[in-house]
Amino acid sequence: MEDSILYDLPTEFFADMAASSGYCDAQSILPVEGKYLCHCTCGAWDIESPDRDTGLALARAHTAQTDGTR
Amino acid sequence: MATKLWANSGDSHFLEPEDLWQTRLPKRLAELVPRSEKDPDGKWETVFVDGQAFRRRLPSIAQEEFYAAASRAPGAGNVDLRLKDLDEEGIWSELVFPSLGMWASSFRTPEVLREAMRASNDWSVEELMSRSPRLLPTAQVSTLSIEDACTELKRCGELGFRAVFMPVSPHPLQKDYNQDDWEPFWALAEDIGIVIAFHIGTEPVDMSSGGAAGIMYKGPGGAVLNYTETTFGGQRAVMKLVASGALDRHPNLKVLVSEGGATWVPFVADRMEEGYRQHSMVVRPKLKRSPKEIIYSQVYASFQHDESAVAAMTGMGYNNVMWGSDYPHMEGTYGHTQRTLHDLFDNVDQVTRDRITFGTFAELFPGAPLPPAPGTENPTPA
Repeated sequence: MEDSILYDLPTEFFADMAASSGYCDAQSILPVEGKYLCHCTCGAWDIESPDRDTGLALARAHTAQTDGTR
Repeated sequence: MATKLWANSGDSHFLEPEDLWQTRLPKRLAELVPRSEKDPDGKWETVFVDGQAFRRRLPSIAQEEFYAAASRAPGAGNVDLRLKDLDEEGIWSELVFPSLGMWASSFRTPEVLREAMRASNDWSVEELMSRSPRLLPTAQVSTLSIEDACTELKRCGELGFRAVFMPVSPHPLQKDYNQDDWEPFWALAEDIGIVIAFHIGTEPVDMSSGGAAGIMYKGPGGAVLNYTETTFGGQRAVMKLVASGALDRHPNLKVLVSEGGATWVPFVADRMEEGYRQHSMVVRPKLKRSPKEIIYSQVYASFQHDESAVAAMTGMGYNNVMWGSDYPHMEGTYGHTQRTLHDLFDNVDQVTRDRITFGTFAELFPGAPLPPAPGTENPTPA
């Protein structure tokens, strides 16, 4: 059986996110009142996006830019 | 060679197919259930849940291998292999909690959650309950809509479920368990004889805030602090059901806290007893029975390794202690169950050993298959 994060508790997934604060280790893209709020655990990337997929693409661009700077 | 010991388990887990909800829900709902996708570079993973997305850097290969090796027994997601594992380990009947269902609090749309829980319950009947009487899967219900929870609980009672899995706190958008809103649910569970089965470490994650998960420690000691912290939610859930009068109003309603140890029960009972007595001028509601009497008669607790758990019964007079394997999780006893059972019970009298290894389980789930006698190497299939 393939391993999957869905077989672990959500708290474990988010514990990783919480513990990584200060680095670009996790991003959230959340729908709020018709737009999407995007946040990175580095604390230096908070933007708005018109839809979820655009937010994810921007998150990938953000981490591509910061990868290697840790 | 040591005598083979057998026990029933009040705490086990099954890994359902990852696409269970995608394949069983209508397309418009299936698109909203949790799914994870890895980036092509293998360095990142995104979890999509009900319109939200969470992306994280994947653990290193070494970390992944550690977790996979430590938590994935062969029968984790396969009934045939599971029964072989259980026979090998010395585990007979087991209460089986879900895995995907632990993500239920991350849904935002009541209809999606309602239908996902229904699909999971149907799957459990088909793939677990009907395959072996040794497997007692927990029912799953929405904690976002209490009305939906009652409807599904009633259906699950008719399907033959004996317990319902409940997270230690309800969905972030729902009232807490001590509120009267939950009264119809407790009344129904008592009426149809379904055990409320809390599992520790299942606090809902507040997705709207980007995934805040309650108390989270960082820095020195973080791993042990965070693991120990998961224990307390089960204790809080019990306190709410006792102090609010829910268990007092429903004396036949039984509550199990799985994986949380056992000696906390006498401790919490003492604390609540003192609070009820010393603060009596402000206590509402008044209870017909004392908190300790309610807890000792209606609350059950499972543990896997805790050396002190047996003393909750022998030294503190709390009889509802139950062993559990936590199969197949890394905190459980898979691979060393026999050593664990011998360490715990070799110097314990038979009455206590029988009570903790199968008597408490039998009291909570009458009619569930009892384990073979100690020393049985090749048991007759149930």
